[in-house]
Amino acid sequence: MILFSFIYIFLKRYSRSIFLFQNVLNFFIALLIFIRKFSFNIVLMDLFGVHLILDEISMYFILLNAIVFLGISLKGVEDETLIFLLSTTSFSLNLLFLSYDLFNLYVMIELVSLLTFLLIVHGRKISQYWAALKYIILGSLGMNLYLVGVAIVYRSNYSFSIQDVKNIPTIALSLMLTGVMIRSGVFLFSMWLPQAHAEAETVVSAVLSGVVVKTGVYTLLRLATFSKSEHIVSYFGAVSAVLGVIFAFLSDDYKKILSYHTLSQVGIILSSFKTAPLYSLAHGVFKSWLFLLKDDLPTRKVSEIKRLNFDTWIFLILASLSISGLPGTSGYIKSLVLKNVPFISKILLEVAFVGTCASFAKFFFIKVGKSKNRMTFHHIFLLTVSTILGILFFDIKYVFSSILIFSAGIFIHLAMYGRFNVRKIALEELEVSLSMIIILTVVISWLMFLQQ
Amino acid sequence: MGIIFIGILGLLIRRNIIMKLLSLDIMGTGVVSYFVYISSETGTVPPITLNWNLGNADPVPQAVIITSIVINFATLALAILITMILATKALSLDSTKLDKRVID
Repeated sequence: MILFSFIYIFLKRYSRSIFLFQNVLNFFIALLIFIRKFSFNIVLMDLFGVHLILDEISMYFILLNAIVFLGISLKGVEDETLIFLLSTTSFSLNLLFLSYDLFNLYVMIELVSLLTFLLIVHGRKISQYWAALKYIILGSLGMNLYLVGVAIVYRSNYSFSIQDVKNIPTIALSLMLTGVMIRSGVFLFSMWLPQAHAEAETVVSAVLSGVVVKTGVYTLLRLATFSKSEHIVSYFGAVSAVLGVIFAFLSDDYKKILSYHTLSQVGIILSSFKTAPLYSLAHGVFKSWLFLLKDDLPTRKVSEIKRLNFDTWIFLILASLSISGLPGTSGYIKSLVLKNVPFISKILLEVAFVGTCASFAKFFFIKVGKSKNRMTFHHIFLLTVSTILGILFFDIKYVFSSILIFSAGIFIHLAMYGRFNVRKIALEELEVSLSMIIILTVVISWLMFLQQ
Repeated sequence: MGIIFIGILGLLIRRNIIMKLLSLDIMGTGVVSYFVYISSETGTVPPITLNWNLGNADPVPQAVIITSIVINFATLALAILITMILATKALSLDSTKLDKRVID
């Protein structure tokens, strides 16, 4: 696949079709891996070498990566530089989801974040430059904390392997967790996320929200499986789910809404580690779908959209239903999440689901206009994937409660919509988020210490 | 470890973006020195030998941290490039002012 990326540089003319071909290939390989349950576990070069693993967890992430990139290439990307960057990102994401030792994870996360940085600034606007700079400053701070944690791990058990994370000093674990949580999009930790995701180009935002955020989730999963940190991370996740949804409900900008939902959905993913790979697959599918829909909308301001073409409207409704989690759509996997969480986070998650329905209910009341028959393969593809996921993981027990949640969401929308509006949040400013991260590092170390 | 704290402090106190990036670099240097310190715990003799003794430095952290130095360099180079563009386009390097301008 790295070969493909370099072919682009020489073959600029045909790069679009090659991009499509590469992603189709990637998709079928991922699907094959997923269906045949193919797995390996290799250590390259001796004891301290690169450890790669392909198992149940990485399978979901690789499939997600393939789906999102195939969706994007079906939509069609015009710019050659963007295609080159995207294909390199796809390749490095695949490698990231395979890596299994602490230092290799660090290197891959940094590589992906540098690529992300270049992707964000691709539109050459001031706001994009500023969002990207914020991202890189906060991200490097986080990764430096992570590295200190890794150093302490090495000092105590002379290896970078994740299996040895079990018996390490708590301070190392908390530093590593903070560092990764900044990347993964948990509320309060990664407040750079809404701005960066909202300002980037549409295709780029789909990649960012769909896959790049999951890099942090993957690392957290790997770290938490072998340590006692699961509870702390899952409570942070549940709180993040509720807070993110509140801000999503209050904002008016289409992309801002989606980015706040990313914060909230990452919280839902993290609140139960058993179902995390599956739910991140579902989330990646419907979130990238929603972001890709933005290009069909006339304006970013949701309150100014009065009328939509029929085909745009039907896909927007279907995608909103997916994220609201009605039976038969990919969002319905939330029922599996609810099965696996403790009582307190269950309540928080229910609130978050109601909020999700409420903030997407505004799209159900948009009027329909005439149909404009355009070729929209990417919407059809993502719809198929979403439906297949929904049918595969169908569970009859939660049908009634999910419909109840949905109607509660619509009720809240009717009661509260338009009363409040938030355009900017102080938490998103660089200074505030920097000090927030430092405070939270201390808080997490303290919680870890208490748990012992 | 002290250098890392100085870096964090600089990151918090200074409003200027260039200063922030400089503090980030200092912090990175602190991390690198910490790795080098860990590798010198077993000894300080360079491990260029066939018979391994107790006095040799541990080569693994040193070997691994070179990657991080390169990554830090790349990140910093990109960030400074963006800062240059911001300085010419937005005519300001103050983080609070930039935050206000961009959101409004």
